[in-house]
Amino acid sequence: MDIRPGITRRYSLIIAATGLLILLLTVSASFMVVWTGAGDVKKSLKENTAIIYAETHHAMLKNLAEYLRHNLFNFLYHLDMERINRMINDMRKGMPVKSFIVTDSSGRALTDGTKENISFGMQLDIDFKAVRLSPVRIEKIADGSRVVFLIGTNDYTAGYGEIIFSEEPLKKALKMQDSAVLQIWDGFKGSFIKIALAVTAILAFITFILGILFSRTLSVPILKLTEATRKIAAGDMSHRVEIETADEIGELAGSFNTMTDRLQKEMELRGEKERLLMNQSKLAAMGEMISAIAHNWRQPLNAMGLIIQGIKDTYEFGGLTKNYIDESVEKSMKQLQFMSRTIDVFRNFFRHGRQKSSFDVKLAIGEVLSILSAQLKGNNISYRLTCRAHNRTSEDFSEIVQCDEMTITGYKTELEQAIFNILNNAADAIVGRMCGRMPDKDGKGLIDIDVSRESNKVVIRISDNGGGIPEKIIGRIFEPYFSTREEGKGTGIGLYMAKVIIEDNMGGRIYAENVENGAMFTIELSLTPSEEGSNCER
Amino acid sequence: MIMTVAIRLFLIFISALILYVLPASAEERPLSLGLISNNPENRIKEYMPLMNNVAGRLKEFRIKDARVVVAKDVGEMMKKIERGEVDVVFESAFSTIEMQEKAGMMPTMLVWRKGVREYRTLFFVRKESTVKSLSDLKGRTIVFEDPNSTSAYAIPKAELKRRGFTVLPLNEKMEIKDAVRYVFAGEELNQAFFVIQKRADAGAFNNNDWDELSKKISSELRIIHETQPMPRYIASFHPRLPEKLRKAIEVIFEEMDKNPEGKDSLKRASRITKIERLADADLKAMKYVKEIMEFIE
Repeated sequence: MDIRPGITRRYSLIIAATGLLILLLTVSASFMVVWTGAGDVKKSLKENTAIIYAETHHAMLKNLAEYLRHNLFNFLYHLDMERINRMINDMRKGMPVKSFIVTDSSGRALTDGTKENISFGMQLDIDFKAVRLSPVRIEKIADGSRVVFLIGTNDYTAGYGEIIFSEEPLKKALKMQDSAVLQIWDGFKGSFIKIALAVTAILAFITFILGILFSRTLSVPILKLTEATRKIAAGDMSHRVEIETADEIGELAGSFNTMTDRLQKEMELRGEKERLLMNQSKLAAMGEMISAIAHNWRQPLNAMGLIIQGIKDTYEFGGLTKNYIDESVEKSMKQLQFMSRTIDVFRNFFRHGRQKSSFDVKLAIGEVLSILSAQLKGNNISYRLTCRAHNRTSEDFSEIVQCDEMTITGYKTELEQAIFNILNNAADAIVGRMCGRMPDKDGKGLIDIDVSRESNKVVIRISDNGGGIPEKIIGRIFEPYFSTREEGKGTGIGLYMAKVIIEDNMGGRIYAENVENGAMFTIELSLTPSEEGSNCER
Repeated sequence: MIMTVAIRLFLIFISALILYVLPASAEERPLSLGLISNNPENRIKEYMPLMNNVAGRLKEFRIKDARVVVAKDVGEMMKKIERGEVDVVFESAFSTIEMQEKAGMMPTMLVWRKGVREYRTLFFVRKESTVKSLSDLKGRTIVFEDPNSTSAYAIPKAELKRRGFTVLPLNEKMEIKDAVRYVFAGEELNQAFFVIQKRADAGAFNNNDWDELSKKISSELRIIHETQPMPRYIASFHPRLPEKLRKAIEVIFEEMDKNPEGKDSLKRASRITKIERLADADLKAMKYVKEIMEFIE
């Protein structure tokens, strides 16, 4: 089966694009959630770290101050400034100490632990009363904490210590934490993007493949249906679609097959009807033909009667010579040949041939005219056939010559039958008019046949001066069993069969219209590509 | 007879040869530097590069290598000197004089230990103190560093005694009128604080320690007396050391700060910046030290 992958491709792409879009939206949403979450975690981490730091820092400062106030006491009591300095410097090494001053009992700075000792002599701002009540006091100051503690015992104050602790370590810790979180986040982001890209690529591929498979489940049955439709359209009514699934597609295939069954039956029924009508039509035509043959034979039979009578008379008057007999025989043979030819045409006309063949439309019309010519002549109806390809008009069927431009491929006999019916109708109309039903000014009948080539069609226009078709029935003239003739004279199937032959069997078109003094039937037939060029011969 | 003379000449030759060879073999020995310290490991580590440098230039004197010998005090060092275990000793002026007097050591060179050539002991009081001179210290309290200190205990105490003061510990129960009482603060800085915080009326330590004081602190103090300068560190030689060798060592010592290698080895040995010959002024200073030493217990 020739499966065109258009639907598959389209749906695959749509499904893949939809899947990819959903995936991208999911990934983006996840990324947004993670991003927001990471921001919250960072903020929370920072706040918690600050709180934990503050709590532990406060406890640590308190413990440290307690330790110092006891350990510095002996050194300060003995004014061992070297040891105090060493202690201060040890503190500076391990702690974020901005300044550490030890004062005497009046709050006057003794040492800040440095060699320069620039704080020496400075009076520190110490709330002595408060420190005596609570020997370790911790205050929050800008960028750090201030710890003031009493160095001494309950009974003796050797001095005071003041330490300014910097918050720099907290800031550094937070900065490092931020940096670490950022680093982790960057790493995570990089991995996330890589994984997302890889997963997207894999899923895009999987989605595309699934899309193809899914689309094929949809498109393949449709393509099979399309193929079946094409075959049925081409006339293969035996073709059926295989029902593979029990879903909507299977239902569609079943309906299609049912429809095809019915169509096949309808077609068969219609064919039967058509054959019946064709036979009826042929029988009717046969009657017409017999009448025409009778017309055709009347003249030669009269002529032969006269020849025979002449032989007898000549013999009786003693004038019968060999020469006279030869002439009479020759004349008789001519009449017999004419009659024989009439029979041949008649026989050919009724030969059932369903084989398409190339034939010249003008010659086919000529053959019909040869059958009808005697009848037409007997009814005082003349005819003329004009070939527009060469602007040549023939007023007798024997003058009609072959013309390649008017050659088509189709069913010649059927076309002849259709034209016979039209010409017969035209003749009837003219005869009717002559009999007074439709009086004419000059009383002479004329059938005008015009054959032309219009683009890729051969157009046959048959007009008469039979008075035309009443407008109220012009739309029904191609209906079966529709006739305006008297009961018993017309079957009403001639024009119907003409339409079936032209439009259904030969793919052409036929329509009727009224023209001046009569009606005109136009037949349009498609050319075959081989009928190109012009070659008219006598 | 001739045979006897020949034998005698041969024996004399052999004896001369033995005499020539034996002393030469005995002289091939290390050059030893003597130091007094409680931390021999560090001293040896610090001074070996210097002594290797010196010994390396004395091959012609049969000096095969160098050695650093550390004694814990002057008494032990004296014994080492007596046993001939040291050739050169680096020590303070006081110890050098003692070694000179008791063991015949010959001080000839001045060592700039820690970049200091000489020092004086300063006596200081609070800026607003009524004490103007040493004589005002009668019946007052002075703060010294600790009993082992030379410049912040031995010298100032001796100087006071030389001037006729009775110098007693603060907790000494003996009642002597106008006696100068003393306490120990443990460190020079503490001495300054003792004075500032009025635990003592005066203090004494050397001029280098004074320079080390913070300006803020020294500005609250006032110097009332300075002793004569005293050499910081002295190199003295063993009396049995051949003169030629001693002089060669002196020349090497003298030139050491003039080349990078020697400068580096000096620096590693207690940050010595140079070694120079004792000048007349130094000898005079030594004389002052000797005087002072008479008042040191």
